[in-house]
Amino acid sequence: MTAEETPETTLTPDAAVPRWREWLERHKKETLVVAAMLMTLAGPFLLRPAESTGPAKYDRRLVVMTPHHELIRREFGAAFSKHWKEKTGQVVFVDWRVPGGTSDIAVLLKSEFLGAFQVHWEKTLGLEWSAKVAGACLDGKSVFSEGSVEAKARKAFLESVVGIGVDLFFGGGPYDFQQQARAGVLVAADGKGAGGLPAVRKAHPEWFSDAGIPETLSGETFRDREERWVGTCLSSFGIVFNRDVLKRLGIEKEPDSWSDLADPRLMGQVALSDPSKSGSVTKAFEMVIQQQMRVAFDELTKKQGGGRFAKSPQEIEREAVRTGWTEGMRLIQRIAANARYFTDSSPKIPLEVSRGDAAAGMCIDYYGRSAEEQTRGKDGKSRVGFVSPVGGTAVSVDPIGMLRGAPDGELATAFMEFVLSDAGQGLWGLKAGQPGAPKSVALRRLPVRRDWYTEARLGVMSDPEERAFEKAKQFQYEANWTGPVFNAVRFLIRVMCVDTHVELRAAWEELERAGFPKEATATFHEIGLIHFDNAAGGVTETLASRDKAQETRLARQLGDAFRKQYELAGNKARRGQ
Amino acid sequence: MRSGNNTSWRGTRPGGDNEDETHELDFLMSRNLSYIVFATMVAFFGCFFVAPIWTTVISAFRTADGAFTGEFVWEVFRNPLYREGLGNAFWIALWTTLGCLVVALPLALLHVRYLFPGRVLLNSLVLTPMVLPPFVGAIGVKAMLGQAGALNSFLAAVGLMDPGQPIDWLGEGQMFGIVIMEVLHLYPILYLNAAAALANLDPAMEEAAANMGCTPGRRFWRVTLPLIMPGVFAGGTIVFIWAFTELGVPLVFDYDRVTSVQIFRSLNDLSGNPFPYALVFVMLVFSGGFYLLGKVLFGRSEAVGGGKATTAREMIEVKPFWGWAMTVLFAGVTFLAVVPHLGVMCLSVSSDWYQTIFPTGLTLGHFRDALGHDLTLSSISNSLKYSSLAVLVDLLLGVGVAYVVVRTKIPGRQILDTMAMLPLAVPGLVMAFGYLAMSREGQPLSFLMLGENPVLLLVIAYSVRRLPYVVRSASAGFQQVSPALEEAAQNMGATPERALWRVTLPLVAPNLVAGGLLAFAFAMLEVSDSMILAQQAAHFPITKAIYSLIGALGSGPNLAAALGVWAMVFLTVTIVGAAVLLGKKMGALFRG
Repeated sequence: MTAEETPETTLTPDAAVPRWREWLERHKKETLVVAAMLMTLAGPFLLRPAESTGPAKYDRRLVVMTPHHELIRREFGAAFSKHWKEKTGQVVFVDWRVPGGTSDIAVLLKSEFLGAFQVHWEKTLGLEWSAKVAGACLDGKSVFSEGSVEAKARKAFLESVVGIGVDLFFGGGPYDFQQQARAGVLVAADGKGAGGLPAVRKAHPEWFSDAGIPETLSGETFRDREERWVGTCLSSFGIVFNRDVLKRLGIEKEPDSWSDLADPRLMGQVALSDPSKSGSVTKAFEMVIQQQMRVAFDELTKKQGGGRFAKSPQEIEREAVRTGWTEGMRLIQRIAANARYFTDSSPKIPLEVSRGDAAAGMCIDYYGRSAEEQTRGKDGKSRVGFVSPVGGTAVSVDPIGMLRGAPDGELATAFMEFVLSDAGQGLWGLKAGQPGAPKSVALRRLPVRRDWYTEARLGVMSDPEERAFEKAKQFQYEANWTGPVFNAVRFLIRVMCVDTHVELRAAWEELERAGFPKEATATFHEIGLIHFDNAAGGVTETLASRDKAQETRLARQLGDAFRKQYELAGNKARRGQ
Repeated sequence: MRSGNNTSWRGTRPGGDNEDETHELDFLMSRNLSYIVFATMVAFFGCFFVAPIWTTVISAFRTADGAFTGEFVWEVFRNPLYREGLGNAFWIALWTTLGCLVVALPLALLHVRYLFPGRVLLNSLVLTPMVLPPFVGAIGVKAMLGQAGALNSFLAAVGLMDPGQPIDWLGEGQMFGIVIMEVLHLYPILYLNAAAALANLDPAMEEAAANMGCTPGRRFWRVTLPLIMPGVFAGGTIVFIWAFTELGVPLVFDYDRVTSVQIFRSLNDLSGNPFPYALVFVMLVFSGGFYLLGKVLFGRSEAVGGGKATTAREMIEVKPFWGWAMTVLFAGVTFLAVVPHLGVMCLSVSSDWYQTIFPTGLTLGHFRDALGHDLTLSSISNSLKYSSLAVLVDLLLGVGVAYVVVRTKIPGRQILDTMAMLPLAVPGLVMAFGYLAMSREGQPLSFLMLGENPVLLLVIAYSVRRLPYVVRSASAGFQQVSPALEEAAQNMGATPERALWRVTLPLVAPNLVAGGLLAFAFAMLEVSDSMILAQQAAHFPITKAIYSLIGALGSGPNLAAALGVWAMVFLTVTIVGAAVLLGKKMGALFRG
């Protein structure tokens, strides 16, 4: 860049001065600037990691799309590369793709597969693309009539090895994995019909049994029956809280149930994430709803005295689901009204709480435990605490699965096998510094394989007191209660609470100031617009149709309605109604 | 655009009119070469400026079946969320521009009119806030403005706040935080423009007004301000559009009710979803509209203000007290502007920063972890690669364009100049989105994405955005070097190309080095293109690496801050280097 093109003929008569010195003399400033730049570059060069998981030269590459945080990626990347090197001598590069949270990934996967299939349809098959084809190719739910273009599109997709250059989807929740599996995005075998989870099962049948990973536990699915995904570790949900902030707000009792987050004293002090970005937060909200459904179910059953007008169990369940849904959504409304704001990723929740920017937040168990560990002082006390609400959380799994068109199905299978092996399970659950565990910071998650929990291992686990399999029995998860509305929950909480948060919070403040007058509170909580059958029906259908114009319109109409309703509630509260 | 800027490059140097200098210069550069330069520029501009914008625009108006529809764009306006996003972007831009004016104008006046201690040093420190992308500064600010942050702890310590009821500065005032960050980051642009305009102002005008009995205050409003308006406006437009489309800062503040963030959030869903395209289209129309509106409102006064200094300005010496007061004001503003930087530095060396004014627990661990992180070395080398290739492209194109515009009279050369300057008027976010849209699989330019490697796209994106700086510095160089030298070489038998290569280029080399370094520094700091175009960790440039470190569980912000500090050091070296080499002429690089 510097002026190398100086005239060669020099006018200086003194030939004793070497050329380069003369050049330096002339370009002193430029040389100094460049030298200073080079010196700054030395730092990262000298500190570069000795073992990189992103080597410049590699024999094979495994592309993994994941919402897992950085520490998990680093530990599993390094451990698997090492394992593969020992086994085969090949250098493998684990190429992580982190486009956002689980909800983000779910959207991205559908979008990318749709784009890839469009190219396949138009270029390879030479057919004409239409809105019908776009709507049908990823639709695993509808049944299309024989010979229709929709049926043809769906069949063409399922028979194709259309891929997006990604091998695995690692991390999230069973719901999203099941959705992707049903759409045909997750597959059991690779393009050649080999590998995948069936191969892992064949090699280790004991892992895929009730002694290892049960198919379901207390209602939660732990692995797909058709072997397109499997759980790798356990997750439950809870409340992370900051003791200093709670004390400052005059709240003596530490929170122990979801409804504690709806305390109006926590106004502006609850940390939440946008469920349309984070899967774990959606799952936590689902738990809130499930708990209310359970409460309604128990009450209805208790009230039931037998006799002539007794309702059938089906009727009770039907009613409980609807009552619980309404109560659950109202509780979420109140919790959301307390939110400081909605962050774009769930790891920010424990961060805001430990920083004292929020008093409490909902998060996945190991975020809470890690935050507690990080803020622990020398005296062993921590300003941050974490609690699993009693009867408020199921134990579910964090899955892995292979994507259609995986570029390296063999490597993908090997990675899945590694994650389920003793070594992989140990990475999740062992104390830091133990052999086979992360070096400095434990991941603090619970392995999914029941047979991994031996007496000897309990002593070296990071969280031996979390008897997850015992705890799981305390909460019976009913997949058919919230399953039909899971996607709608994501969407509805967004329109009801996130998009309208300003108005929601303003109304909440008015209510609190006026001492929660009856009529205003009822207006605030009016959610007839999104009653259960609407959520499970029309809303879910719109979301599944992939018609973005329709979806955006629905979001706008519902958002408008809620916005007006909150304003009305605020006005009523001001008038003391 | 052209004529107004020439004067600023010349400074107060008395010189002939541009037209006079070029009247016989056609033979200097062979016509063929000029046309080649022209054609290259038109092709470059067509492929990498018009095409990406076009791809985005048509996608905003097309249904899945390929029919035309205005529904998506209409929905953007009907949807209160999108409307609010646009409104918020507008307010952020307006407040940021006004804030920058309020901060920059007085400082520029002080600098040009008065002698005060430390004047030269303070002037050269004005660019310091720009060594850090504002979103990194925002990490520091977030740590300081938290409920248990440094500011509240300070207020509590001096008894101005009840520690039991801390203020949640950012809980409700995210927009306030964003505006502050952007003002502190962008005011130098306005300052440099205003100072250049003031320096060019003919003091005789003001003296005449004073002689007619005009009071100083009135004189400023009626004479000085109208005369410097074009210069201030040129900088103001850049600030406005920059703030209107800023992505990094609102992202860090978790503020999603603003158009740029809404666009960024929708990137995961580009197949079959027309709304991201419609949003980008609307944003483009608005920023283009603001630009034109400004041109119409303020552009005309350029003709009036075009005069050059006929007499030298006499600096006013004031009493020591007032002199020091000016120093304190000037230094105070600069200090405020680097508070976010200080926050980032504190964060990078602290193990905890909670309920205290200063961080507790000093550690270098974050630096070790951040600089030793897997992402770091590769992102630094990526950034260096992308930025230096982009600067190379810019130098080749920029020198060609500047030469043709300044030294030849081929028809349409002004169009060439306009093409080179136009990227300043279009938001980086729009361009980045356009590149992404045009290189998707199935699109005509998809080959630009080399398999999965966005290197070409990023180099092009960076170079298009930075071309104006290089063209400006090269033009300045060509105007300052007398064409007589080249003529002499040609009289001695050199071909026009050889004369350019051996005589003129070496003479303008310092300008090119300075312009190139500046373009390089800004490419290293680039946020929009980097965030949108680099999707895989192996190809992340440094800004995206910093952004992705923020999200690490636990110590994320500390790691991001540590890497931010490193970037700051590197860029300080680069920008100070440019300033040392270019001297006073930095200001004109930011004119629209």
